[in-house]
Amino acid sequence: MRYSAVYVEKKAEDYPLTKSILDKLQDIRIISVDHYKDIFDRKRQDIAFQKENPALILAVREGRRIYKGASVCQSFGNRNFYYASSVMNCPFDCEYCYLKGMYLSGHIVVFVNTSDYVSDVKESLKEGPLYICASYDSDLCALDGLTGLASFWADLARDNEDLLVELRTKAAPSSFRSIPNLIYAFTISPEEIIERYERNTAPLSARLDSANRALDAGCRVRLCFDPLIKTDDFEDIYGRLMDTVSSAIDFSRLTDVSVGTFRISGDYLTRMRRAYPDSEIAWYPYVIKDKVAQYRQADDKAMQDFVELRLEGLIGKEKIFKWNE
Amino acid sequence: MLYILTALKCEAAALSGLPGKIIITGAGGLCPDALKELDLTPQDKVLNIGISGSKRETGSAYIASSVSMEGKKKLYPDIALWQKLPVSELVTVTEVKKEMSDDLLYDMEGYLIAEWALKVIPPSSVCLLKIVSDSGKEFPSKQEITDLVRSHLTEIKVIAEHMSLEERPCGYTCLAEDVTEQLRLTEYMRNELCDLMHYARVSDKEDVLLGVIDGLRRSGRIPCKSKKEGRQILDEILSSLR
Repeated sequence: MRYSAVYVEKKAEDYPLTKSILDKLQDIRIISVDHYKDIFDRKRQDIAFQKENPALILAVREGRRIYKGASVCQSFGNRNFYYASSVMNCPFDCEYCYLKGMYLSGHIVVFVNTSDYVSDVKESLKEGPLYICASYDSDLCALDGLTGLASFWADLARDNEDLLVELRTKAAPSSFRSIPNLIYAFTISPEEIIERYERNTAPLSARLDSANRALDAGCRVRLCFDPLIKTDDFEDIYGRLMDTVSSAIDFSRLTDVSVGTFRISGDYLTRMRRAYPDSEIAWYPYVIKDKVAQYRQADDKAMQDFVELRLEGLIGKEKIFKWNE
Repeated sequence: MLYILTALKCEAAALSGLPGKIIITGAGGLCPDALKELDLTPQDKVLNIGISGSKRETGSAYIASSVSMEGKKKLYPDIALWQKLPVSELVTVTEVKKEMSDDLLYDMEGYLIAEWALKVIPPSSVCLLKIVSDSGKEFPSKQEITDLVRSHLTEIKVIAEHMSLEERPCGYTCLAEDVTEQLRLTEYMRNELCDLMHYARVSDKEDVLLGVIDGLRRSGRIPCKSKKEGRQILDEILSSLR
C-alpha cells in the first residue's frame, strides 16, 4: 500500500514501533504534528479522497484503549467482550464499512504505545477472563508486515491464557501462530460482493486457502459470513458461495462460524451517505430499529436463514452465532 | 470550480493553459479583500501558487504540509499521492522576514487563503504550492518571479488538472416537482422520497421507481387526496425498491 505521507505525533517519535514503521517506509514524506487529532479530527474531511490518498498517522493513544463490545457486534457467548483500538481505519476500502461513518477521516492511525495496551489488558484480566476483538477498527493482519500489531496481539494471547483474542481479516495471511486462545476470523463473502464492495481485499479463493493454512498450522479458525449484503440475486450468489466454501473447508475443524446481515448505527449511516453520495449500500432504504439501520425484518430473517440452513448441514448448530439472536 | 490564487500579477503571468479560474489576490493584507469577493462552495477547490522566502535552494518548489501564522491554529491541507513535489511547513508572516529558520518557507498570504478556504471546503481541496524566490536578503524582479513560476509549470499543470477533475454529485432528482406535489407529502415524507430517488439512481433502479409511479398514476391513485394516501404510496415505492 502506498501512503501519501506519514504524520508523526511528537510524543510518538521515540517509540520503537514508530522507528520500525518509518524504517520500512522509504522515501516517504514525514510530517511532524503536535497531536494526531490535528489531522484526524479536522472538519469537512473528504473520506473518499483520503481512502484513495491515505496517510499514515503514528500516535500515542491516551485515555481508553479497550472498549466494551457494541450491541451490533457478536460476543460468541463470551461474557467479558471487549474490543481494542490499536489502529483506527483500515487499509481496505469496503463500501459498507462502518468506519466510514464512525471517523471524521479516512487516514489510518497506528498507536505505537503498545506497552500501555499490555498494562490495560493485564489490569482488565484482574476482573476475570477477557474476550478481545483486536481487529475491529482495522485489519491488523493486512497491516502486520508494517506494524507487527497482529503479532503483538498474538503474543499477548500467548502470555495470558485468560485472554481470548480474535483477529478478523479480509486479507489472506500466509503465516499463523498456533495459540489456543487466539482465533483467526476470516470474513467470507461471495466473489461478486468482494469485487463490487470490498475494494483491495483478498479474493475469496485466497481467503479460503489462507483459512486452510491456518487450520493446518493448528490454529483456531472462525468463518464470518458477516455482513450478508442484500442483492437481487442473493440466493444465487450466496448459494454458490456456500458450495465453494463447503467444498474448500472441512467445517469440523472450525472453532465456529458467524452469520450476520449488514447493519450500522443510524448516525454512522448518515455520515456515510454524506461522504459517499454514489454508494448503493449507503443509500439503501434501511429500517432504523433501536438506532440501528438494518434490512427489513423479513429480508433480514430470510437472508440469515438461507445461510444458516446451509451451515447447519456442515457444522453443529451450537457453533453458529447470529448477531441478533 | 478550481480557483487558482496568486498574490502577484507577475506570478499569474506564468500560468498559461491551466484549467480553473486565476484570481490575483494582492499581497499580504490585501488578500482578504479579494477573497471576500469569491463565493466559495463546498465543491470548489483552491490552489494557491506563489513565491516564498526560505533558506532552501532558490527555484525549488514545495507543497505546504502545514501552514501557520502567529497566534493562530496550524492548518493542514491533505497531501495527495499525485502531488510529486516535496513538502514543507509554510509560515505566513505580516512583514518580510529577514531571519529565517532552516527548514521553513515564508509567505504573506498562504494562511489567510487556507483559513478562508477551509471554512467551506475539505482539506483535500486546498493546495498551497510555493516556489523559493529568495532568502530575505535580495529580492527577485517581476520577470524573475514569472520565470521562477514558469519553471514549475509542468508540475503545476498536473496538480491543477487533478484538482479540476469532475466533482462527485451530491444529490439526484428524477421526479418532476408536480409529482411530488401530487403525492401530498409532508416535509419529512418529501425527504424520504428524495432519499429514495437518490437510492434509485445510484442502484440503477430509476426505471423501477418511475414504473411504480406510472402504474399508480394510471390506476388513478395519483394525485392523492390526502397525506395518508401519500404515505401509502411512499410505502409502496419503498417496498418496490427494497
